[in-house]
Amino acid sequence: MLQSAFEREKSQIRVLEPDKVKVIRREGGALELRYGEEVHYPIRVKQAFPLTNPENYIVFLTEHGKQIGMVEDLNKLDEESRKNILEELDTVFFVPQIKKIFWIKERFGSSKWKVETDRGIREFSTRSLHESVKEVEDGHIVITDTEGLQYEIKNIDELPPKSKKILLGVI
Amino acid sequence: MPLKEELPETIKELLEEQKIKEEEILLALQSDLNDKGQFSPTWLIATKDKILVISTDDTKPKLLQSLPLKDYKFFKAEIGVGGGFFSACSDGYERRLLRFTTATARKFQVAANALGRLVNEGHIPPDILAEEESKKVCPRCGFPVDPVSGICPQCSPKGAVVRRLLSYIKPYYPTILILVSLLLLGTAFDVISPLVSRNMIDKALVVREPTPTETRLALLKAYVLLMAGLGIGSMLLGIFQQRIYAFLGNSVLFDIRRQLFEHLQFLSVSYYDKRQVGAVMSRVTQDTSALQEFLGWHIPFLFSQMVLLLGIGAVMISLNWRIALLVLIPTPLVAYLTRVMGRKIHHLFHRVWDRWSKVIAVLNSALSGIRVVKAFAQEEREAQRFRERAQELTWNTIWAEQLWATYMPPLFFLFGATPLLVWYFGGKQLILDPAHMSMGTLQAFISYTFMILGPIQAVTRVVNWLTRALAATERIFEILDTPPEVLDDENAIPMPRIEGRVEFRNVTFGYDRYLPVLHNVSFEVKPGEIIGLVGRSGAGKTTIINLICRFYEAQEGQILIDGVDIRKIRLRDLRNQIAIVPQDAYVFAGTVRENIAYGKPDATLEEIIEAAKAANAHEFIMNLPYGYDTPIGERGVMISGGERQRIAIARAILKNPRILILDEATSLVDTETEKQIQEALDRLMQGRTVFAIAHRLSTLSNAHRLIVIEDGRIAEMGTHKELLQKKGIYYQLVKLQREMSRLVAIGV
Repeated sequence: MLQSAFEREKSQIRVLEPDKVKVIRREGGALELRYGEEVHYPIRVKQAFPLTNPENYIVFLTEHGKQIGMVEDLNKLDEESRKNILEELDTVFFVPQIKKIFWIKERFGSSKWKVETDRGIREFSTRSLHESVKEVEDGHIVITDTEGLQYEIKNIDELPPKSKKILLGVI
Repeated sequence: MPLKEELPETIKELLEEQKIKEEEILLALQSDLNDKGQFSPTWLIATKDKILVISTDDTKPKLLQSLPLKDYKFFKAEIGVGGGFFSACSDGYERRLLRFTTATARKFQVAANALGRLVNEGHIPPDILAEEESKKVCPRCGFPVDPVSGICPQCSPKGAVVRRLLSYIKPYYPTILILVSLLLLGTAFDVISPLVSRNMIDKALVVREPTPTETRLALLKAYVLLMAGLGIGSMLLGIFQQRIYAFLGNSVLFDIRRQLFEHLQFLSVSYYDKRQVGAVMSRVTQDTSALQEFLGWHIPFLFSQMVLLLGIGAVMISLNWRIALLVLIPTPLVAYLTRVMGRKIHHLFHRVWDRWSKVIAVLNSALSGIRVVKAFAQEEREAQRFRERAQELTWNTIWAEQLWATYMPPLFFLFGATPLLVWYFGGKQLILDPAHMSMGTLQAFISYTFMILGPIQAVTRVVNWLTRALAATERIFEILDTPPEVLDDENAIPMPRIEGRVEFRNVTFGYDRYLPVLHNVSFEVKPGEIIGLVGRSGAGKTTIINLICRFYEAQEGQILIDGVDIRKIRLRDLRNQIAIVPQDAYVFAGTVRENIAYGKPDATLEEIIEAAKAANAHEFIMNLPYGYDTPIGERGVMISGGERQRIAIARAILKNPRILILDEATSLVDTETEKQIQEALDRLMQGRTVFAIAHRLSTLSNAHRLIVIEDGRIAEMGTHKELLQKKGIYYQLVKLQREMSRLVAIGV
């Protein structure tokens, strides 16, 4: 393990050929990467551009954070590998999408929300709205709650009219 | 943190089916996600020999996994962005147990530690249960609590806080007594004034019985003079009141602010680790200001308005109770409406403010980075960004001002509506029943109607003011109540002169007790020995230093200085004989002289110059415009990182410490400066015990021994030569650095 720590510093980016990549979910739930003759288990996956290009430049790492290699486009992998990687990413990059806002209550600048997300109904609270609600780009909003969990609204115009009105009432 | 959360009945039933008794459960934690990533509670339950995962997706909970504990060696809680997973591992095998969001991540980190120790030691040590988890959200109302104190501004009981706040006012009771009497007198003047004008109207201006003209003129003169007297009296009283408020509010505030800062100085380093400096600073600035506003402005205002309300109410009812009711009943309604409107408009103007700050952000980044903008020829893009933000600001300002323009006039009309009622009903009575209503009385009522608006508005705001002020007060008291760093144990051993022998005995420590940074570290250092601490960043080098300074205390094991447990040494003696030259040396706002003499304010001029010379700092100091009297630090002359570093070294030299700590003291400067600093350091190291951390291994060339730390454990220890021969980690590090810098620095 100590040996690997130093190799980590020297390692170069290694681009994997998509045809040879196979990602399998092993018994127990952790992923295994097969690349030609190589077998890595358990592995971790990470996106290089999680917000802007979530399906490109996916990096494979060992459980200790040592880089194994990178695939440039997730869609060039076979369906099973792709599905496994997306599921794994969903676990470690968890940003619920807000579909509907029931209410927002404000008090001394902090606020309490009840929303419906793609992960179910959730109540959360934020500190100062000014700092917790960020407009990433026009109409694309990210809300950070007290626990550090982020919620996303990709396009406020796609919210139901009532939810949009509630949201615009506070931001 | 409780490792056993309250289990729902349905899960208890399921556990009974599994033949698990409640008292067998050692750990029961609820995560907020199910295995599909939906918000739905999932439970992790552990007994002495089993781990269970139970989902609650359906009405009846379902056992997802049941594993024998002994099959696993360690447990992991990995956290990404927003979410993560908990897994059980043995060699080359990982089993995912459940998922969680960052909201519940913390307890699964603790669980990983606890279960790991359960497997390896056979039980969960009780100290894991000891630590209190800090809440982020009030369990009662769901709103966030204050990040520094953990107090909910709405829900915490107020009585005690008010009593304690009053204790600060106690020394000023005589002043307050004077203030209250002035206030009552002033209010009386205000209430009497319309009564005088009433008599003037009825007896001199609009008389019912024929009265000689001279008498009327004389009465008129007398009443006007009386009113003038009342006016002047009221003004004088107002002046005295304001002066006393100013004195009282600020004096109390000074007492609290001073006490607060003194207390903050004595809080431990770990207190500041857990909090942002900005948040703590706002306690001293904003919260005390909120308190001042409350004590110096809101309380007197409220009090005087209450007295006024009572006075006016009493006078009006005694004059004509029917008309009085006409005034008193609709007024609160009008006040309420203003408040609602006020909120809406406040929100709009808040949005304008927010857009303003965005415009300023663009301005700031583009102008501060103007060289970069120009170098990359991005002027047009920055201009475009500014246009967009400015346009948004413009639109929001237009909306806000238009709304204001539309809603305010009707509101002002409403204000004027109550007097209309008085005019009509009072006037009707004047015409039909002149015995019970006179022109003067009617006029007095109109005056009172306007006078009463102030107090009514004050009443609607009182709750808000009170809550805010008390919340601020509580946050201040919370800091005052945090126990200060234990300076001296009762039996603390004085150590006027430390020899410099330092020993670590099986020290285990983590800033967060669940995540140890140092594991079972032991070493011994002789007086006068120079020790180099080597390892990658995050390995635990700085932590060792923090423990030697006793900024923190080890959770397990012992640290001994001259054979005495560090916890038993008088802290003042210890710190007086340790000096640190940190990576990024801090200079205080003050002169060079004050900065060098920081640890020894009574140093002679010779001593200061000697120290500066030894630190290779004398030369550059003499090139500063005012020599040693040049102001540096904030708002002073700008000096470079290397110069700051040498001032820090001079500071350390002057202190003449027995133990010297160099925390990457040369990492931020260029090679030439490094040479000068290194020279200074070599002088400083003479005859002292030295711990030096350095990334550039070349700077450790004169170390007697090196300690290589890896992942919080001592990996290698020995002289430079020994470690090179060993061909271990140190050897690799040296090789790596040579490859990278091609600098043959160490004499091999």
